[in-house]
Amino acid sequence: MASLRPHIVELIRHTSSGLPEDVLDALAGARDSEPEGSRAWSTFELMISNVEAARQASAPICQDTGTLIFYVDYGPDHTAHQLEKDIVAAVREATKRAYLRPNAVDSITGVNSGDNVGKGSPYIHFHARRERGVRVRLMMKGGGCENVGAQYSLPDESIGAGRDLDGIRRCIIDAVQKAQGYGCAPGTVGVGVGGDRVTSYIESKEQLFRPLRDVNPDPVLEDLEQELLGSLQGLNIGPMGFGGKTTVLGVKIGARHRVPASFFVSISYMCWAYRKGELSVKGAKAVLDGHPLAVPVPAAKKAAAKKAVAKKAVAKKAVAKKAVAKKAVAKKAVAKKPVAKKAVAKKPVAKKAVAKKPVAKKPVAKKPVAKKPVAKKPVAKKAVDKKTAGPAVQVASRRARRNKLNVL
Amino acid sequence: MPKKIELPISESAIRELRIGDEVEISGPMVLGRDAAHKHLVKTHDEAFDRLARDRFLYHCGPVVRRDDAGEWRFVAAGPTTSIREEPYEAQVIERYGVRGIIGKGGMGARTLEAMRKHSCVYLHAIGGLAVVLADKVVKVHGAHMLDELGVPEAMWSIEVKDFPSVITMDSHGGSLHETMFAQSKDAARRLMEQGVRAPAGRKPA
Repeated sequence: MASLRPHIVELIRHTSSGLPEDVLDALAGARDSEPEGSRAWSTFELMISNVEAARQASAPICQDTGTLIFYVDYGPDHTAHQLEKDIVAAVREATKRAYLRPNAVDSITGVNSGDNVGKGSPYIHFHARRERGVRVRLMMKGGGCENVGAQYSLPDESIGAGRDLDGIRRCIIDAVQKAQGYGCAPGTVGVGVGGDRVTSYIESKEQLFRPLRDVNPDPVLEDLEQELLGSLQGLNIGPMGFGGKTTVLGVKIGARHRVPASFFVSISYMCWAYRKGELSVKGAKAVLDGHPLAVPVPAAKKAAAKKAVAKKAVAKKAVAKKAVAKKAVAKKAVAKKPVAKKAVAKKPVAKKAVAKKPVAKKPVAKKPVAKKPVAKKPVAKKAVDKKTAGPAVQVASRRARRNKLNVL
Repeated sequence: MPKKIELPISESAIRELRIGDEVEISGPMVLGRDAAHKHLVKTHDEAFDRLARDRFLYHCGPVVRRDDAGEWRFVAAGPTTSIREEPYEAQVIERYGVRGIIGKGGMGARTLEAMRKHSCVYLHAIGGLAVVLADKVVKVHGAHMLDELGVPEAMWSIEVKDFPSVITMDSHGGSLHETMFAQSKDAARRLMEQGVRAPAGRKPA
């Protein structure tokens, strides 16, 4: 199996320099619910423009590139040992390229390792599976929001929380109120119920991998999530704690069995800069957040790759630029995959735009979606110019749409 | 329209600022966070004094890049949570004559009191606004104690232009954070008392 290092570097770059679409949509919706020109409105506006600027520059949207949490599901054609090596090497490379801030500090000596690698860093959770290939999920969670996380042991008299659904609900309300703007509100609340102290927190983090607009398989928890998503907004904490109509973007609750003596409710708060990404590799196919992944092409395959690029009729200039970029990276890269993917990356973008139509934005989607593809072309070119990979195009295109909505 | 602030700034100009004021800052300022604060209260750091007196201290650990000419450049530079510096900040304000603290989340009663006494304000920048704020950094002069503290913790001396923020603690004892906390606490109590909603029909997706 070839090294996945370049793929993982790309996963880190992509995750660090942008937000998932559902989060961007939620932020745009939050902005549009505020009176134009208000402090909350302009705060959301700045947040969105910051994500766009970061995407364009391939720079981290937040300087706190956070704790790197990798969840890896791997099949029989991979080994945890090799994947760990690839991930660690990728983290080092991504730090060197300033996609990541050196964020691993020795707790006893206070010395920063300088490359994000240290004892227990990055954190990698392996899970073996029967199916071939590998799926790597990455979450980057900043320290500010991690610090406002909380674990309750029920019963908790101080908030009147007993060992039942009402008690769980009280914990969530209490944690969100105490978090104020410290965790960069509006955040998404991951909740782990049950387990032991460790697995309860793990559950709360795993909940944060869920998309914002999904349905909890447990109808009781789904009801609670929906109710809290509505009622927590009444705390009026707003973006950064400045006050406003949106205090949380999502509430996600999972439960595990517990021993009779313990009843933990663990809350992980994820800031508005909700960075997560998913990479799937199967054979020669690599997909990053639903898009075929453009990875550096190994030198030997360059000619073939170029041909493929031409076939897809990508702008000549872009190809030339890419080739240069490839050359630079190819020196180091060893990936054996026939990676003509850079060229392909554009197609799914178009698909995505189409697929999006039915997802009527709540209060916002008054605009005819048909205009999107028009706006896309020039933006796409710009993105390619910047030697950013495929997925960047898709986000840039959303900017056009968002700006249009803005005019409404 | 945001008020323009030029650094260095006088005591009387600071007294004119009130909570809720939106401002844009231009001029020289210095970065410092956890390790720097710990160091600053232990000794009197002359170099820091020169960088901070009558200027602002920014709670930030940036992502930096060094270009081919050897010049530092800020890539990402949003604020970090300020409350961690609460045990040190009052002393830092008093000792070094800092006129403004830029960060996020606000600070506590001791800092608020020091601000009232020594004419200083708290300026709230938007967390996670790393690229937009890094763009406001027009010049990086250097980093004090870079080797000892590392990139995120070093005391970077920078020049900013039109850096946006909001006054959330002023030199008259006003704190937007205290107000917000009290308000949301009442709302939270009411919400808790409402209890779990009866499992009505779920909203259609």
